[in-house]
Amino acid sequence: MDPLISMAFMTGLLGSAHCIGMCGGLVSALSLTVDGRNSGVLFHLLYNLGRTITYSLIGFLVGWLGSAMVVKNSLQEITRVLLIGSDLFIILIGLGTAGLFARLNIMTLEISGPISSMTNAVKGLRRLPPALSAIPLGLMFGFLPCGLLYAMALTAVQSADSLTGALIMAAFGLGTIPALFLVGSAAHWFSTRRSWMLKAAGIMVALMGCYNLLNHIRMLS
Amino acid sequence: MADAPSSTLKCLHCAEEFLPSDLVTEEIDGQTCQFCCHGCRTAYLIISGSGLQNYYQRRDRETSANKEAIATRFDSDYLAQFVSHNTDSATISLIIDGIRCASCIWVIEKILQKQAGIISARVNFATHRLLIEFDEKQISPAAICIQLTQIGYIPRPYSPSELQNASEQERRSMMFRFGTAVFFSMQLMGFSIALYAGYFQGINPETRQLLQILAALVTTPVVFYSGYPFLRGAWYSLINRQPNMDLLIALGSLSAYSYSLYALFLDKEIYFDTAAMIITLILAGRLFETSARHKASAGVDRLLTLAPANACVLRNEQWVTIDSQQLQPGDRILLTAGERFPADGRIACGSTEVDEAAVSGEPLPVVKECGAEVVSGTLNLTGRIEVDVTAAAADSFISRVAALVEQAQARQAPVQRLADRIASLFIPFVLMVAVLTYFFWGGGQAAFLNAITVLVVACPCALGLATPTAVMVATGRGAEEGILFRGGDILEATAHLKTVAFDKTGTLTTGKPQVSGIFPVAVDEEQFLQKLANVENGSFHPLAKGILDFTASRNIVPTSCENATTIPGRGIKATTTDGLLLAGSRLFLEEHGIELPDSVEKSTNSEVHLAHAGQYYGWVELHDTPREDAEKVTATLKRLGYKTTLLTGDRKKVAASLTKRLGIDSYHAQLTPADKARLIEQLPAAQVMMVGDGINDAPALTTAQVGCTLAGSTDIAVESADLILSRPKLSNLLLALSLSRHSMRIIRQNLFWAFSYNLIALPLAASGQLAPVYGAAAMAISSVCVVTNSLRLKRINLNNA
Repeated sequence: MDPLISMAFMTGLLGSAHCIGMCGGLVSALSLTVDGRNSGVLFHLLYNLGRTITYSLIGFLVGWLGSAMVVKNSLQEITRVLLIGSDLFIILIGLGTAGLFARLNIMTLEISGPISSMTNAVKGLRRLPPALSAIPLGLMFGFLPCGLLYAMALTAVQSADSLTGALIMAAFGLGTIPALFLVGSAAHWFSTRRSWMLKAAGIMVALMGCYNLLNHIRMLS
Repeated sequence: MADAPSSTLKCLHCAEEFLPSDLVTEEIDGQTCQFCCHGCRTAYLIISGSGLQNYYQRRDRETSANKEAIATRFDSDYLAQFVSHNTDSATISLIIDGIRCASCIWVIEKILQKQAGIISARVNFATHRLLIEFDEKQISPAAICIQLTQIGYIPRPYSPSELQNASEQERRSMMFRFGTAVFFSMQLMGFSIALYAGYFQGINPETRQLLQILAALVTTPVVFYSGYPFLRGAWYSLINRQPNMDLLIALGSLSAYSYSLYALFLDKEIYFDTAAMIITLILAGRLFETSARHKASAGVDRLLTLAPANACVLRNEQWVTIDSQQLQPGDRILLTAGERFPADGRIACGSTEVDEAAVSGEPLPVVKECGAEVVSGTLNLTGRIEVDVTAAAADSFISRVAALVEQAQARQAPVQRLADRIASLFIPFVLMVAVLTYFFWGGGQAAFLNAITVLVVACPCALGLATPTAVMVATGRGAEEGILFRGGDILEATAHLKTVAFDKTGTLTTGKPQVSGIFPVAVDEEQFLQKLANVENGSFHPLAKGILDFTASRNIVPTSCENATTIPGRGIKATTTDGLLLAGSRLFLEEHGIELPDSVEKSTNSEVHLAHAGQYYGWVELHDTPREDAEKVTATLKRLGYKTTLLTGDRKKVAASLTKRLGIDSYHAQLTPADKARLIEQLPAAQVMMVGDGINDAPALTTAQVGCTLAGSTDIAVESADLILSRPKLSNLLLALSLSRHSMRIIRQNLFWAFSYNLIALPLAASGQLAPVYGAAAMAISSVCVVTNSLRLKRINLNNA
């Protein structure tokens, strides 16, 4: 098994300390039923399933894109620069997140998503019963901009294989799920360790970058 | 960058603090909202745009990580209703959710007792009820509840209906988890059999892979849903740094599960069945244990359910039905024939026959007239009566009995300390053994399975259950027979007694002496009795009662003396306008310089002498008959090898005659209460039981190893007594002694089994002779055996000692 996959899983696990704040809040809000109750574990499971499917899909697409780039010999020069450059970028981002440079970290990669269209979609989906709306909501919010996600997507590109790309992204998605299920005191325990977990996730990202860099240097030389 | 880097902002969406350098703002309704990142901003805009803003208010209210939020959940005003106040401390009873075995109780008690302001904390294993004594100045009930929540247990204020709910819920969830586990384990068994068959007969790799994936699918819910209580317990045991048996089970099943997942990818042998069977078997054991626990505590429950939940009470000239718990002293309640009394009271109107069997053991109905006292839980047989409530339901006789029994069940027997200490050292030891086993067997698959077996088989649960279950069943059984032990320590001490010391009046005798002769000197009978009645009036001493009964039959109405004081073991003195009025023993009068004629020291009956203003007025003789069963009790005690002795404030002659008649070994007469206590202290070996009536024997009862009172049915809350015989039958003492000895035998058996189980099972597991599944089964069976053995105390025949 490609070590990138297990590393992606670890990144997901560690990085979910970050997710619990933003995505956790979002999914908790979405899981409220019309009369204000929580719609339970099933909703969360299905939502996260949807999200992971989206991630895998992204991974599949970018992996395929990467493979297309590598195959075209005419683009070799550009590819080489792109690959090495993106590896270095990922290492930098990883180290930045780990706390080496204050300005450059995963957060700064985040941009706003298409808010109005997403809001409209949420309104429409919420007319459905929670169990039915969960997967589509998850599928949609899988596209929500997220710094960690970009880093993983870049790694998926560099894997230059659509299946590996999909697997990397799926592993990352699975890794983020456990944290989103934590409630109460466990979530509190988690959030107090948020900063070092995020740093560890950054180191993980940097390691993945290094691994790719080594591979690419070997491949291209 | 104008802002100092140290000042942090709070994100509106994720509520986390962040550095100003990451700030993202958004104008919403003219207000500037701050976010830590674009993701949070997006999420906020989507949530508020979809009309879900109330999520944020809800979250701020509910975040359980927030201490204040928990504090409001445990509302102080609400909790205050459940706090009862003593002189310098307060107590509260809580029901605790999330207790799974004896080690949870250990953790709760240990952690709470470390807390400043908590004087004592005891958990009743049978009912999961926590009784905390605390200092209100130092800690609030809400703070205690928060503390409990933080270590993983959810408290609720105690009330009988809450208790019912809690145990009902617990049982239902356990049944559900167990049902799920069984259902999926059966599926799993099917796949496993197919895989085993394939292993021997050959199987094509795709089918094999498919079967393995299916096995993984059915195992997952067993481990994570059915096994959730164990996982949760293990998690909290890590947080609390108190390794418990849940940790062992969770480690065992999780490592089998995760290894199998890993093996699934590498196409190796899988052990999903191990993971699932561990959970299923141990759950089965738990389920059995829970039902046994309920059976054991049923005695107390039955006692409590004797008092009806509702009462018909007079409010604003109308009879209305209310919850019995709300009855207050002074309320007038109405009872028709066939109803049980909801509270203690006095008959205000009407007369009836009452079946008091539940309280006194007396099978024959008692006729009760206007003014007679009735006890809650007894049955009104014939008449329609009105009763004035004298004590709130919570203070009624049966509630006090039930409370006593519950407290007793929570009080540990000293034998248990050893078991506890071993159990707390045991788990780290087992973890070590498991690791060693793994490496000893070379770290391969077999080594892995052996290590798992070690984890699963070595559960100190049986050890933890050995004593509390026996104490619980014994105290419950005792309560049914009208024998109330104050705790496991008393049960143990009672089993080791060598000497039984008896008080005379009210203990060996009926305590209702009757006047058998009047000997006035220098005055006429009428005048003599009048003076005697005046001074004795208001005293609760049995002799005073006998005298007052007699004077009442002579139609003498006593006028009360304002400042009568009782000198225990001596008599009563009162100052009147004419001078000092004295009534009591010969010694008492002599101490006050009264000269008594010599001729009076001759009978074997009790005497009360009377003097007024220095002049001797004569005496009355009272005759107290021994209890019907006194002779049988003393004879049996002698046969069983106990030393018996009589301690009395009465005269030598009276004591000697009774001693001879009942075959008691020795006697000490003319003792004050302090003398009695001193004598008990001096008796060889500390293993002395004092049996007294609890009124003037209090110091002796406290000094003795075990203080036993023979209560006239309602006086059970005698503080100084360790063992209370709530029925007026002395022969119950024999049952109590027998019960305590049987209990100790059962406890010793339990400990022996638990120790030998671990002693045998652990080496077997470490040496690889046991499969994990058998380990789990053995573990469950060991707990079940211990509990079943304890349950024998419920049926054991106490009459053959």
